[in-house]
Amino acid sequence: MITSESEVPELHPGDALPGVIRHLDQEKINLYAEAVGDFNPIHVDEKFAAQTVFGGTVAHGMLILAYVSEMMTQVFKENWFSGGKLSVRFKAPAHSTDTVMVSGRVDSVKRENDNLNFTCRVDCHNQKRETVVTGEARVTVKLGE
Amino acid sequence: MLVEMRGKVDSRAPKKYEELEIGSEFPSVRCELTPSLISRFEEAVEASSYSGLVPPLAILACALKAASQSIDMPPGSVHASQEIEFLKAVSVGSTIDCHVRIIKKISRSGLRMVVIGLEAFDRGRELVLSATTTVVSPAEVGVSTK
Repeated sequence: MITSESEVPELHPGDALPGVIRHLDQEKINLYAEAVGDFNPIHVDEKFAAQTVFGGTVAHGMLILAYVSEMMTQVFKENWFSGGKLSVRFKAPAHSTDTVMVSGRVDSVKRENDNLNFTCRVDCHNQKRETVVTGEARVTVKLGE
Repeated sequence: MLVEMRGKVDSRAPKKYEELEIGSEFPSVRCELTPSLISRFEEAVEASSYSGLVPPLAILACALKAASQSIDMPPGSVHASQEIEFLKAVSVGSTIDCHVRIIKKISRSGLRMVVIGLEAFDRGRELVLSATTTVVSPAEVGVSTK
């Protein structure tokens, strides 16, 4: 996708990306399981999950990453779809009663020929401020006229 | 999720950890990104639709579904890490082919980790997504996560 310079997000190193907040519940986790066909009992079977190290059901990691992707889409729009990279580690589970707060911050903005390369730190925390997901997102914006 | 095996269909059950060979590839899986499927995905992740394009994480979900048809991911498996590169926007209504391969296996401290390579191609055979997924599961139950 070619983006005109006037449409490039005005972001500078240190700028915060607009965060995303999502309140989880079992119904939302079940809805995601049905949408993607992933019925791993750690996500949808409360009795099974209660006997695991997690002590209860946890959200799909991909559901949490979808929230991160939503944040990146809001900022970078179609550029995220065709020039986005995400590299993350899952540090802790997101439980079915958690609130997930997605945040991002611009680390660097570099111009290389007709490309503008954004590197952002991305994190997801729960309501106890525990890190659920941490990593880096990169977006290449191809500049046009 | 609407997926179908194509090419040489592997009718065997998904392979268990012990059976997985590093470097092995599995039959590709075709996924139709129908409007209803994408609508359900967007509702589930609380995302607004964007210009008739498929949310990138929906493509990854298809690829992971493809992986679960070839690799036994026992109950209790979870994601440890994820790398994704979105290379081309995909329109709602498109069909993609998902390819799965085993990159690495690690067994230690009662845990089993499988590193899975995923690629999705559109009908023009252009790569639209490339990803590396690490799934961890307790050794005693097998290998399963998502």
